[in-house]
Amino acid sequence: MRAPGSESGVGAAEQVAVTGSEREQRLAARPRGLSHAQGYRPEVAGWLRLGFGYERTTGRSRLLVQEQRPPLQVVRAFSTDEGGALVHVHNLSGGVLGGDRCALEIEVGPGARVMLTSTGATRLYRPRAEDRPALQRWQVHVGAGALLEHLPDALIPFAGARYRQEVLISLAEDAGLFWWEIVAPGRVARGECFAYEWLELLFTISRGEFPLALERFRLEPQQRSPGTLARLGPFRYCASLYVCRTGQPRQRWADLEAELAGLAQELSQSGACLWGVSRLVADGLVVRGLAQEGLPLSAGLPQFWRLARLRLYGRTLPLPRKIT
Amino acid sequence: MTAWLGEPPLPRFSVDAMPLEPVQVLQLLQLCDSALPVGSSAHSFGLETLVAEGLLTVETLEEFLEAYVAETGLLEGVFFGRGWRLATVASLEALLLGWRRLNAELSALRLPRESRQASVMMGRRLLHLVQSWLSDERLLRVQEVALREEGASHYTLALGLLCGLLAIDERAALAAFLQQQVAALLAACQRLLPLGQRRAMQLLWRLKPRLLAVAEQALRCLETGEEPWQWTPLVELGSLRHPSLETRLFIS
Repeated sequence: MRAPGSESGVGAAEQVAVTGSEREQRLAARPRGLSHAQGYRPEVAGWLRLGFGYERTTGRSRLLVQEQRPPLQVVRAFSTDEGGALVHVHNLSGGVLGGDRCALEIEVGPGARVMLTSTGATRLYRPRAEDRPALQRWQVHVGAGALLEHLPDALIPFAGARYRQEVLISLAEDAGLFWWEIVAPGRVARGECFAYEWLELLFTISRGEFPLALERFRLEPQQRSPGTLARLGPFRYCASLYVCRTGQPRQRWADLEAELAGLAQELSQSGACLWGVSRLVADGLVVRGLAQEGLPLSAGLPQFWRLARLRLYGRTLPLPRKIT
Repeated sequence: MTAWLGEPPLPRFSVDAMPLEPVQVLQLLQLCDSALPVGSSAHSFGLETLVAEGLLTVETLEEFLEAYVAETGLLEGVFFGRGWRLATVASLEALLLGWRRLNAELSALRLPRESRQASVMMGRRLLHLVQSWLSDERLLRVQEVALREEGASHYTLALGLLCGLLAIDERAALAAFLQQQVAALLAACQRLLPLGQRRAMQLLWRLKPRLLAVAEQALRCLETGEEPWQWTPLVELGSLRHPSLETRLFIS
Protein backbone atom coordinates (compact mmCIF):
# COMPACT_ATOMS: atom_id res chain seq x y z
CA MET A 1 0.00 0.00 0.00
CA ARG A 2 1.24 3.48 -0.75
CA ALA A 3 -0.05 6.67 0.63
CA PRO A 4 -0.16 10.17 -0.83
CA GLY A 5 2.55 12.62 -0.04
CA SER A 6 4.51 10.01 1.78
CA GLU A 7 8.26 10.13 1.67
CA SER A 8 8.23 6.73 3.19
CA GLY A 9 5.98 5.12 0.63
CA VAL A 10 8.82 3.54 -1.32
CA GLY A 11 10.91 2.74 1.68
CA ALA A 12 8.05 1.07 3.42
CA ALA A 13 7.82 -1.51 0.71
CA GLU A 14 11.40 -2.51 1.24
CA GLN A 15 12.38 -5.55 3.16
CA VAL A 16 12.95 -4.42 6.70
CA ALA A 17 15.08 -7.25 7.96
CA VAL A 18 18.50 -7.01 6.44
CA THR A 19 20.99 -9.84 6.36
CA GLY A 20 24.52 -9.34 7.60
CA SER A 21 26.03 -9.29 4.12
CA GLU A 22 23.42 -6.85 2.86
CA ARG A 23 24.25 -4.58 5.71
CA GLU A 24 27.94 -4.75 4.97
CA GLN A 25 27.19 -3.85 1.35
CA ARG A 26 25.16 -0.89 2.48
CA LEU A 27 27.93 0.24 4.76
CA ALA A 28 30.41 -0.06 1.93
CA ALA A 29 28.12 1.95 -0.31
CA ARG A 30 27.71 4.82 2.10
CA PRO A 31 28.38 8.27 0.69
CA ARG A 32 32.05 9.17 0.35
CA GLY A 33 33.35 11.74 2.73
CA LEU A 34 31.04 10.69 5.52
CA SER A 35 32.85 9.11 8.36
CA HIS A 36 31.86 8.15 11.85
CA ALA A 37 33.83 11.16 13.05
CA GLN A 38 31.55 13.37 10.99
CA GLY A 39 28.51 11.80 12.61
CA TYR A 40 27.59 9.22 10.01
CA ARG A 41 25.30 6.66 11.51
CA PRO A 42 24.73 3.45 9.61
CA GLU A 43 21.14 2.47 9.14
CA VAL A 44 19.70 0.29 11.81
CA ALA A 45 17.53 -2.65 10.89
CA GLY A 46 16.09 -4.01 14.13
CA TRP A 47 14.35 -7.30 14.15
CA LEU A 48 12.28 -9.12 16.72
CA ARG A 49 10.53 -12.41 16.17
CA LEU A 50 8.57 -13.86 19.03
CA GLY A 51 6.54 -17.05 19.06
CA PHE A 52 4.38 -18.19 21.93
CA GLY A 53 2.80 -21.54 22.62
CA TYR A 54 0.45 -23.02 25.18
CA GLU A 55 1.84 -25.91 27.20
CA ARG A 56 -1.00 -28.23 28.03
CA THR A 57 0.82 -30.15 30.76
CA THR A 58 1.56 -27.07 32.86
CA GLY A 59 -1.31 -24.91 31.67
CA ARG A 60 1.15 -22.12 30.96
CA SER A 61 2.02 -20.04 27.93
CA ARG A 62 5.65 -20.00 26.97
CA LEU A 63 7.95 -17.95 24.80
CA LEU A 64 9.16 -20.59 22.34
CA VAL A 65 10.79 -18.69 19.52
CA GLN A 66 12.92 -15.66 20.09
CA GLU A 67 15.01 -14.08 17.40
CA GLN A 68 16.22 -10.57 17.81
CA ARG A 69 18.56 -7.98 16.50
CA PRO A 70 19.28 -4.65 18.20
CA PRO A 71 17.90 -2.19 18.92
CA LEU A 72 14.92 -4.45 19.65
CA GLN A 73 15.35 -6.91 22.47
CA VAL A 74 13.41 -9.13 24.81
CA VAL A 75 15.16 -10.41 27.91
CA ARG A 76 12.73 -13.04 29.10
CA ALA A 77 9.07 -13.82 29.57
CA PHE A 78 7.41 -13.51 32.96
CA SER A 79 4.37 -15.48 34.00
CA THR A 80 1.10 -13.66 34.61
CA ASP A 81 -1.38 -14.59 37.33
CA GLU A 82 -3.35 -16.75 34.90
CA GLY A 83 -0.34 -18.54 33.41
CA GLY A 84 0.11 -16.23 30.45
CA ALA A 85 3.45 -14.89 29.23
CA LEU A 86 4.35 -11.27 29.89
CA VAL A 87 7.07 -9.81 27.70
CA HIS A 88 8.68 -6.36 27.79
CA VAL A 89 9.87 -5.16 24.40
CA HIS A 90 13.04 -3.10 24.85
CA ASN A 91 14.51 -0.62 22.43
CA LEU A 92 18.17 -0.46 23.36
CA SER A 93 18.58 2.90 21.61
CA GLY A 94 16.16 4.37 24.10
CA GLY A 95 13.88 5.32 21.24
CA VAL A 96 13.46 5.32 17.49
CA LEU A 97 16.16 7.21 15.61
CA GLY A 98 15.89 8.67 12.14
CA GLY A 99 16.41 5.99 9.50
CA ASP A 100 15.67 3.09 11.85
CA ARG A 101 13.81 0.23 10.23
CA CYS A 102 12.38 -2.14 12.79
CA ALA A 103 10.22 -5.18 12.23
CA LEU A 104 8.35 -7.14 14.86
CA GLU A 105 6.75 -10.48 14.13
CA ILE A 106 4.54 -11.86 16.85
CA GLU A 107 2.98 -15.30 16.56
CA VAL A 108 0.66 -16.30 19.38
CA GLY A 109 0.02 -20.01 19.06
CA PRO A 110 -3.35 -21.71 19.70
CA GLY A 111 -4.55 -21.31 23.26
CA ALA A 112 -1.64 -19.14 24.40
CA ARG A 113 -2.12 -15.96 26.40
CA VAL A 114 0.38 -13.20 25.93
CA MET A 115 0.82 -9.73 27.28
CA LEU A 116 3.24 -7.36 25.54
CA THR A 117 4.33 -4.04 26.90
CA SER A 118 7.09 -1.49 26.53
CA THR A 119 9.59 -0.47 29.16
CA GLY A 120 8.69 3.17 28.75
CA ALA A 121 7.34 5.66 26.24
CA THR A 122 8.34 5.12 22.62
CA ARG A 123 10.40 8.20 21.89
CA LEU A 124 10.67 9.18 18.25
CA TYR A 125 13.86 11.20 18.10
CA ARG A 126 14.57 14.13 15.86
CA PRO A 127 16.25 12.74 12.71
CA ARG A 128 19.17 14.23 10.84
CA ALA A 129 18.19 15.97 7.64
CA GLU A 130 19.68 13.17 5.53
CA ASP A 131 18.04 10.36 7.47
CA ARG A 132 15.30 8.37 5.88
CA PRO A 133 12.01 8.34 7.80
CA ALA A 134 11.94 5.83 10.62
CA LEU A 135 9.75 2.79 10.13
CA GLN A 136 8.38 0.27 12.55
CA ARG A 137 6.34 -2.61 11.22
CA TRP A 138 4.34 -5.07 13.30
CA GLN A 139 3.05 -8.30 11.88
CA VAL A 140 0.92 -10.14 14.37
CA HIS A 141 -1.03 -13.37 14.25
CA VAL A 142 -3.21 -14.53 17.11
CA GLY A 143 -4.04 -18.21 16.81
CA ALA A 144 -7.23 -20.10 17.62
CA GLY A 145 -8.36 -19.64 21.21
CA ALA A 146 -5.35 -17.44 21.95
CA LEU A 147 -5.24 -13.97 23.46
CA LEU A 148 -2.82 -11.09 22.87
CA GLU A 149 -2.78 -7.99 25.03
CA HIS A 150 -0.58 -5.13 23.85
CA LEU A 151 -0.44 -2.45 26.53
CA PRO A 152 2.47 -0.10 25.78
CA ASP A 153 3.32 3.38 26.98
CA ALA A 154 2.71 6.43 24.82
CA LEU A 155 4.26 7.31 21.50
CA ILE A 156 6.11 10.64 21.85
CA PRO A 157 7.27 12.25 18.61
CA PHE A 158 10.10 14.74 19.16
CA ALA A 159 10.44 17.91 17.12
CA GLY A 160 11.19 17.13 13.47
CA ALA A 161 10.35 13.42 13.77
CA ARG A 162 9.30 11.55 10.64
CA TYR A 163 7.88 8.17 11.46
CA ARG A 164 5.74 5.50 9.88
CA GLN A 165 4.20 2.67 11.86
CA GLU A 166 2.44 -0.24 10.23
CA VAL A 167 0.51 -2.74 12.29
CA LEU A 168 -1.08 -5.77 10.66
CA ILE A 169 -2.99 -8.10 12.96
CA SER A 170 -4.76 -11.25 11.90
CA LEU A 171 -7.07 -13.15 14.18
CA ALA A 172 -7.93 -16.83 13.97
CA GLU A 173 -11.08 -18.47 15.30
CA ASP A 174 -11.92 -17.45 18.88
CA ALA A 175 -8.79 -15.32 19.00
CA GLY A 176 -8.76 -12.37 21.37
CA LEU A 177 -7.04 -9.01 21.24
CA PHE A 178 -6.64 -5.99 23.47
CA TRP A 179 -4.46 -3.40 21.76
CA TRP A 180 -4.06 0.14 22.93
CA GLU A 181 -2.07 3.14 21.83
CA ILE A 182 -1.59 6.69 23.05
CA VAL A 183 -0.16 9.35 20.77
CA ALA A 184 1.27 12.40 22.51
CA PRO A 185 1.75 15.75 20.75
CA GLY A 186 5.45 15.79 21.62
CA ARG A 187 7.65 16.69 24.56
CA VAL A 188 5.10 19.02 26.04
CA ALA A 189 7.11 19.77 29.19
CA ARG A 190 9.87 21.10 26.92
CA GLY A 191 7.46 23.26 25.01
CA GLU A 192 7.36 20.95 22.00
CA CYS A 193 3.81 20.50 20.89
CA PHE A 194 3.06 19.21 17.39
CA ALA A 195 6.61 20.11 16.38
CA TYR A 196 7.17 16.80 14.60
CA GLU A 197 7.24 16.71 10.83
CA TRP A 198 4.86 13.85 10.23
CA LEU A 199 3.53 10.59 11.59
CA GLU A 200 1.93 7.89 9.52
CA LEU A 201 0.00 5.31 11.47
CA LEU A 202 -1.47 2.39 9.57
CA PHE A 203 -3.43 -0.15 11.50
CA THR A 204 -5.32 -3.21 10.31
CA ILE A 205 -7.14 -5.96 12.15
CA SER A 206 -8.57 -8.77 10.07
CA ARG A 207 -10.18 -12.15 10.50
CA GLY A 208 -9.00 -14.21 7.59
CA GLU A 209 -9.54 -12.05 4.53
CA PHE A 210 -12.22 -9.99 6.21
CA PRO A 211 -11.12 -6.58 7.54
CA LEU A 212 -12.48 -5.71 10.97
CA ALA A 213 -10.80 -2.34 11.49
CA LEU A 214 -8.65 -0.09 9.31
CA GLU A 215 -6.92 3.15 10.16
CA ARG A 216 -4.76 5.20 7.84
CA PHE A 217 -3.66 8.33 9.63
CA ARG A 218 -1.19 10.90 8.51
CA LEU A 219 -0.54 13.65 11.02
CA GLU A 220 1.31 16.55 9.51
CA PRO A 221 0.99 19.45 11.92
CA GLN A 222 2.80 22.06 9.83
CA GLN A 223 0.67 21.36 6.76
CA ARG A 224 -2.66 20.46 8.33
CA SER A 225 -3.45 22.01 11.66
CA PRO A 226 -4.32 19.42 14.31
CA GLY A 227 -6.25 22.12 16.18
CA THR A 228 -9.13 22.35 13.73
CA LEU A 229 -12.40 20.84 14.95
CA ALA A 230 -12.37 18.26 12.18
CA ARG A 231 -9.17 16.84 13.68
CA LEU A 232 -8.32 17.25 17.38
CA GLY A 233 -10.06 20.52 18.19
CA PRO A 234 -9.00 21.68 21.64
CA PHE A 235 -7.37 18.35 22.51
CA ARG A 236 -3.75 17.28 22.14
CA TYR A 237 -3.54 13.62 23.11
CA CYS A 238 -5.25 10.76 21.33
CA ALA A 239 -5.80 7.20 22.53
CA SER A 240 -7.47 4.09 21.22
CA LEU A 241 -8.16 0.63 22.53
CA TYR A 242 -9.26 -2.23 20.31
CA VAL A 243 -11.10 -5.09 21.95
CA CYS A 244 -11.71 -8.18 19.84
CA ARG A 245 -12.69 -11.78 20.26
CA THR A 246 -13.73 -13.54 17.10
CA GLY A 247 -16.85 -15.65 17.02
CA GLN A 248 -18.68 -13.95 19.87
CA PRO A 249 -22.41 -13.38 19.36
CA ARG A 250 -23.45 -9.95 18.18
CA GLN A 251 -25.57 -9.32 21.26
CA ARG A 252 -22.52 -9.70 23.45
CA TRP A 253 -20.85 -6.82 21.65
CA ALA A 254 -23.99 -4.72 21.89
CA ASP A 255 -24.10 -5.30 25.66
CA LEU A 256 -20.40 -4.58 26.07
CA GLU A 257 -20.68 -1.45 23.94
CA ALA A 258 -23.46 -0.18 26.19
CA GLU A 259 -21.49 -0.95 29.33
CA LEU A 260 -18.27 0.64 28.10
CA ALA A 261 -20.22 3.65 26.81
CA GLY A 262 -21.44 4.14 30.38
CA LEU A 263 -17.85 4.12 31.57
CA ALA A 264 -16.94 6.53 28.77
CA GLN A 265 -19.56 8.97 30.01
CA GLU A 266 -18.32 8.59 33.54
CA LEU A 267 -14.69 9.27 32.63
CA SER A 268 -15.36 12.15 30.23
CA GLN A 269 -14.83 15.67 31.52
CA SER A 270 -16.05 18.49 29.34
CA GLY A 271 -13.18 20.37 27.76
CA ALA A 272 -10.52 18.14 29.30
CA CYS A 273 -11.11 14.59 28.18
CA LEU A 274 -13.70 12.81 26.03
CA TRP A 275 -14.22 9.09 25.55
CA GLY A 276 -16.40 7.18 23.10
CA VAL A 277 -17.08 3.55 22.21
CA SER A 278 -18.39 1.73 19.17
CA ARG A 279 -18.84 -1.78 17.91
CA LEU A 280 -16.70 -2.66 14.91
CA VAL A 281 -18.25 -4.16 11.82
CA ALA A 282 -17.84 -7.55 13.55
CA ASP A 283 -16.04 -9.33 16.38
CA GLY A 284 -15.03 -6.36 18.45
CA LEU A 285 -15.22 -2.76 19.44
CA VAL A 286 -13.09 0.33 19.63
CA VAL A 287 -12.67 2.80 22.47
CA ARG A 288 -11.35 6.23 21.57
CA GLY A 289 -10.24 9.02 23.87
CA LEU A 290 -9.05 12.58 23.32
CA ALA A 291 -7.61 14.77 26.05
CA GLN A 292 -5.76 17.94 26.79
CA GLU A 293 -3.25 16.09 28.95
CA GLY A 294 -1.92 12.55 28.77
CA LEU A 295 -2.81 11.46 32.28
CA PRO A 296 -6.59 11.05 31.86
CA LEU A 297 -5.93 8.77 28.87
CA SER A 298 -3.25 6.62 30.50
CA ALA A 299 -5.48 6.33 33.57
CA GLY A 300 -8.66 5.68 31.61
CA LEU A 301 -7.46 3.01 29.18
CA PRO A 302 -6.81 0.41 31.91
CA GLN A 303 -10.34 0.88 33.19
CA PHE A 304 -11.83 0.04 29.80
CA TRP A 305 -9.39 -2.84 29.42
CA ARG A 306 -10.26 -4.33 32.83
CA LEU A 307 -13.99 -4.13 32.26
CA ALA A 308 -13.82 -5.58 28.75
CA ARG A 309 -11.47 -8.34 29.91
CA LEU A 310 -13.76 -9.24 32.77
CA ARG A 311 -16.74 -9.53 30.43
CA LEU A 312 -14.94 -11.44 27.68
CA TYR A 313 -12.55 -13.62 29.69
CA GLY A 314 -14.12 -13.69 33.15
CA ARG A 315 -11.22 -12.11 35.03
CA THR A 316 -8.96 -9.12 35.19
CA LEU A 317 -5.20 -8.96 35.60
CA PRO A 318 -2.92 -6.34 37.12
CA LEU A 319 -1.25 -4.02 34.66
CA PRO A 320 2.21 -5.20 33.60
CA ARG A 321 4.97 -4.10 35.94
CA LYS A 322 7.78 -2.09 34.42
CA ILE A 323 11.40 -3.11 34.67
CA THR A 324 12.72 0.43 34.63
CA MET B 1 -25.01 4.69 -21.61
CA THR B 2 -27.54 2.68 -19.66
CA ALA B 3 -31.02 2.71 -21.12
CA TRP B 4 -33.92 4.13 -19.22
CA LEU B 5 -36.82 1.75 -18.72
CA GLY B 6 -38.97 1.40 -21.80
CA GLU B 7 -36.31 2.72 -24.15
CA PRO B 8 -34.21 0.74 -26.58
CA PRO B 9 -30.78 -0.18 -25.22
CA LEU B 10 -28.09 2.39 -25.91
CA PRO B 11 -24.60 1.46 -27.01
CA ARG B 12 -22.06 0.80 -24.25
CA PHE B 13 -20.16 3.89 -23.20
CA SER B 14 -16.48 4.54 -23.38
CA VAL B 15 -14.71 5.02 -20.07
CA ASP B 16 -12.75 7.96 -21.41
CA ALA B 17 -13.73 11.32 -20.04
CA MET B 18 -16.46 12.85 -22.11
CA PRO B 19 -18.44 16.08 -21.87
CA LEU B 20 -21.78 15.78 -20.18
CA GLU B 21 -24.80 15.39 -22.38
CA PRO B 22 -27.82 17.45 -21.36
CA VAL B 23 -29.61 14.39 -20.04
CA GLN B 24 -26.59 13.51 -17.93
CA VAL B 25 -26.56 17.00 -16.43
CA LEU B 26 -30.15 16.48 -15.38
CA GLN B 27 -29.44 13.00 -14.07
CA LEU B 28 -26.52 14.27 -12.00
CA LEU B 29 -28.56 17.15 -10.64
CA GLN B 30 -31.27 14.75 -9.54
CA LEU B 31 -28.92 12.18 -8.02
CA CYS B 32 -26.98 14.81 -6.11
CA ASP B 33 -30.00 16.83 -5.04
CA SER B 34 -30.35 17.18 -1.29
CA ALA B 35 -34.02 16.28 -1.76
CA LEU B 36 -33.14 12.78 -3.00
CA PRO B 37 -35.12 10.56 -0.60
CA VAL B 38 -32.33 8.37 0.75
CA GLY B 39 -32.56 9.53 4.36
CA SER B 40 -29.56 11.85 4.46
CA SER B 41 -31.56 14.49 6.33
CA ALA B 42 -31.81 12.13 9.31
CA HIS B 43 -28.04 11.99 9.85
CA SER B 44 -25.49 14.44 11.17
CA PHE B 45 -22.54 11.98 11.18
CA GLY B 46 -21.42 13.09 14.64
CA LEU B 47 -21.95 16.84 14.20
CA GLU B 48 -24.90 16.84 16.57
CA THR B 49 -22.59 15.76 19.40
CA LEU B 50 -19.99 18.38 18.56
CA VAL B 51 -22.68 21.06 18.69
CA ALA B 52 -24.22 19.66 21.88
CA GLU B 53 -20.80 19.68 23.55
CA GLY B 54 -20.25 23.30 22.57
CA LEU B 55 -17.38 22.55 20.21
CA LEU B 56 -18.89 23.36 16.83
CA THR B 57 -20.32 26.84 16.35
CA VAL B 58 -21.34 29.02 13.43
CA GLU B 59 -18.05 30.87 13.78
CA THR B 60 -15.93 27.71 13.49
CA LEU B 61 -18.07 26.02 10.84
CA GLU B 62 -16.20 27.14 7.73
CA GLU B 63 -12.80 26.11 9.05
CA PHE B 64 -14.31 22.83 10.18
CA LEU B 65 -15.82 22.09 6.77
CA GLU B 66 -12.59 22.90 4.96
CA ALA B 67 -10.63 20.42 7.05
CA TYR B 68 -13.46 17.88 6.94
CA VAL B 69 -13.49 17.96 3.14
CA ALA B 70 -9.69 17.61 3.05
CA GLU B 71 -9.84 14.48 5.21
CA THR B 72 -13.20 12.71 4.96
CA GLY B 73 -14.00 14.21 1.56
CA LEU B 74 -10.82 12.75 0.10
CA LEU B 75 -11.50 9.29 1.48
CA GLU B 76 -15.11 9.34 0.33
CA GLY B 77 -14.09 10.76 -3.01
CA VAL B 78 -11.65 7.92 -3.64
CA PHE B 79 -14.29 5.33 -2.79
CA PHE B 80 -16.82 7.14 -4.96
CA GLY B 81 -14.34 6.86 -7.83
CA ARG B 82 -13.75 3.20 -7.11
CA GLY B 83 -17.50 2.65 -7.26
CA TRP B 84 -17.66 4.58 -10.53
CA ARG B 85 -14.87 2.46 -11.99
CA LEU B 86 -16.67 -0.75 -11.10
CA ALA B 87 -19.04 0.15 -13.91
CA THR B 88 -16.16 -0.31 -16.33
CA VAL B 89 -15.48 -3.88 -15.20
CA ALA B 90 -16.48 -6.20 -18.01
CA SER B 91 -17.17 -9.35 -16.02
CA LEU B 92 -20.21 -9.37 -13.76
CA GLU B 93 -18.47 -11.76 -11.40
CA ALA B 94 -15.49 -9.43 -11.03
CA LEU B 95 -17.80 -6.49 -10.50
CA LEU B 96 -19.61 -8.23 -7.64
CA LEU B 97 -16.34 -9.35 -6.11
CA GLY B 98 -15.06 -5.78 -6.25
CA TRP B 99 -18.34 -4.48 -4.84
CA ARG B 100 -18.13 -6.77 -1.82
CA ARG B 101 -14.45 -6.04 -1.24
CA LEU B 102 -14.86 -2.27 -1.40
CA ASN B 103 -17.87 -2.34 0.90
CA ALA B 104 -15.99 -4.48 3.43
CA GLU B 105 -13.04 -2.09 3.31
CA LEU B 106 -15.21 0.96 3.78
CA SER B 107 -17.03 -0.69 6.69
CA ALA B 108 -13.70 -1.36 8.39
CA LEU B 109 -12.57 2.23 7.81
CA ARG B 110 -15.76 3.69 9.23
CA LEU B 111 -15.21 2.82 12.86
CA PRO B 112 -18.25 4.55 14.43
CA ARG B 113 -21.22 2.22 14.21
CA GLU B 114 -23.83 4.93 13.67
CA SER B 115 -22.02 6.54 10.76
CA ARG B 116 -21.29 3.16 9.22
CA GLN B 117 -24.90 2.04 9.48
CA ALA B 118 -26.13 5.38 8.14
CA SER B 119 -23.97 5.01 5.06
CA VAL B 120 -25.14 1.45 4.46
CA MET B 121 -28.79 2.37 4.93
CA MET B 122 -28.60 5.36 2.60
CA GLY B 123 -26.90 3.25 -0.06
CA ARG B 124 -29.56 0.59 0.20
CA ARG B 125 -32.29 3.22 -0.16
CA LEU B 126 -30.57 4.70 -3.18
CA LEU B 127 -30.27 1.32 -4.87
CA HIS B 128 -33.90 0.60 -4.10
CA LEU B 129 -34.98 4.03 -5.33
CA VAL B 130 -33.37 3.69 -8.74
CA GLN B 131 -34.63 0.16 -9.24
CA SER B 132 -37.49 1.42 -11.36
CA TRP B 133 -35.38 4.04 -13.14
CA LEU B 134 -32.72 1.97 -14.84
CA SER B 135 -32.63 -1.29 -16.66
CA ASP B 136 -29.20 -2.75 -16.18
CA GLU B 137 -28.24 -6.30 -15.32
CA ARG B 138 -25.19 -5.19 -13.33
CA LEU B 139 -27.20 -2.80 -11.20
CA LEU B 140 -29.82 -5.48 -10.61
CA ARG B 141 -27.23 -7.92 -9.33
CA VAL B 142 -25.64 -5.31 -7.08
CA GLN B 143 -29.09 -4.51 -5.70
CA GLU B 144 -29.58 -8.19 -4.89
CA VAL B 145 -26.25 -8.36 -3.07
CA ALA B 146 -27.01 -5.14 -1.19
CA LEU B 147 -30.35 -6.49 -0.01
CA ARG B 148 -29.05 -9.93 0.91
CA GLU B 149 -25.69 -9.17 2.49
CA GLU B 150 -25.30 -6.92 5.49
CA GLY B 151 -23.08 -3.91 4.99
CA ALA B 152 -22.79 -4.34 1.22
CA SER B 153 -24.41 -1.06 0.21
CA HIS B 154 -22.37 1.96 1.24
CA TYR B 155 -23.90 5.11 -0.20
CA THR B 156 -20.63 6.45 -1.59
CA LEU B 157 -20.02 3.29 -3.59
CA ALA B 158 -23.65 3.01 -4.69
CA LEU B 159 -23.77 6.56 -6.03
CA GLY B 160 -20.38 6.16 -7.68
CA LEU B 161 -21.47 2.96 -9.40
CA LEU B 162 -24.71 4.54 -10.51
CA CYS B 163 -22.93 7.53 -12.06
CA GLY B 164 -20.53 5.12 -13.74
CA LEU B 165 -23.36 3.07 -15.18
CA LEU B 166 -24.95 6.26 -16.48
CA ALA B 167 -21.59 7.17 -18.06
CA ILE B 168 -21.58 10.50 -16.29
CA ASP B 169 -18.11 11.99 -16.48
CA GLU B 170 -16.18 10.86 -13.40
CA ARG B 171 -14.67 14.25 -12.58
CA ALA B 172 -18.01 16.04 -12.74
CA ALA B 173 -19.78 13.30 -10.81
CA LEU B 174 -17.12 13.29 -8.12
CA ALA B 175 -17.31 17.06 -7.63
CA ALA B 176 -21.12 16.92 -7.49
CA PHE B 177 -20.97 14.10 -4.94
CA LEU B 178 -18.59 16.05 -2.68
CA GLN B 179 -20.84 19.09 -2.88
CA GLN B 180 -23.83 16.91 -1.98
CA GLN B 181 -21.98 15.68 1.11
CA VAL B 182 -21.16 19.19 2.28
CA ALA B 183 -24.66 20.42 1.50
CA ALA B 184 -26.07 17.64 3.67
CA LEU B 185 -23.80 18.64 6.56
CA LEU B 186 -24.81 22.27 6.15
CA ALA B 187 -28.47 21.27 6.18
CA ALA B 188 -27.86 19.39 9.43
CA CYS B 189 -26.05 22.44 10.84
CA GLN B 190 -29.00 24.65 9.96
CA ARG B 191 -31.10 22.55 12.31
CA LEU B 192 -28.45 22.44 15.03
CA LEU B 193 -27.01 25.95 14.95
CA PRO B 194 -28.28 29.50 14.43
CA LEU B 195 -27.24 29.21 10.80
CA GLY B 196 -29.48 30.88 8.24
CA GLN B 197 -30.11 29.78 4.68
CA ARG B 198 -28.24 32.73 3.29
CA ARG B 199 -25.09 32.05 5.32
CA ALA B 200 -25.25 28.32 4.58
CA MET B 201 -25.44 28.96 0.84
CA GLN B 202 -22.59 31.45 1.08
CA LEU B 203 -20.43 28.82 2.77
CA LEU B 204 -21.28 26.22 0.17
CA TRP B 205 -20.40 28.68 -2.58
CA ARG B 206 -17.07 29.55 -1.00
CA LEU B 207 -16.13 25.90 -0.55
CA LYS B 208 -16.35 25.08 -4.24
CA PRO B 209 -12.63 25.60 -5.02
CA ARG B 210 -11.78 23.36 -2.07
CA LEU B 211 -14.23 20.70 -3.28
CA LEU B 212 -12.70 20.76 -6.75
CA ALA B 213 -9.18 20.53 -5.33
CA VAL B 214 -10.15 17.49 -3.27
CA ALA B 215 -11.86 15.94 -6.31
CA GLU B 216 -8.61 16.33 -8.25
CA GLN B 217 -6.63 14.84 -5.38
CA ALA B 218 -9.02 11.88 -5.25
CA LEU B 219 -8.61 11.35 -8.99
CA ARG B 220 -4.84 11.35 -8.56
CA CYS B 221 -5.15 8.71 -5.85
CA LEU B 222 -7.32 6.64 -8.15
CA GLU B 223 -4.84 6.91 -10.99
CA THR B 224 -1.76 6.13 -8.92
CA GLY B 225 -3.31 3.56 -6.59
CA GLU B 226 -2.37 5.60 -3.55
CA GLU B 227 -4.46 5.06 -0.46
CA PRO B 228 -6.06 8.20 0.97
CA TRP B 229 -5.34 9.27 4.53
CA GLN B 230 -8.04 10.27 6.93
CA TRP B 231 -7.57 11.68 10.39
CA THR B 232 -10.70 13.17 11.94
CA PRO B 233 -10.59 11.88 15.52
CA LEU B 234 -12.90 14.52 17.00
CA VAL B 235 -15.62 14.00 14.39
CA GLU B 236 -15.27 10.28 14.91
CA LEU B 237 -15.56 10.76 18.65
CA GLY B 238 -18.68 12.85 18.07
CA SER B 239 -20.17 9.89 16.26
CA LEU B 240 -19.03 7.43 18.94
CA ARG B 241 -20.61 9.57 21.65
CA HIS B 242 -23.82 10.34 19.77
CA PRO B 243 -25.82 7.40 21.19
CA SER B 244 -25.21 8.81 24.68
CA LEU B 245 -26.76 12.23 23.97
CA GLU B 246 -29.86 12.85 26.05
CA THR B 247 -31.80 14.55 23.24
CA ARG B 248 -31.18 13.70 19.63
CA LEU B 249 -32.53 15.23 16.45
CA PHE B 250 -30.57 12.88 14.22
CA ILE B 251 -30.08 9.12 13.95
CA SER B 252 -26.33 9.54 13.72
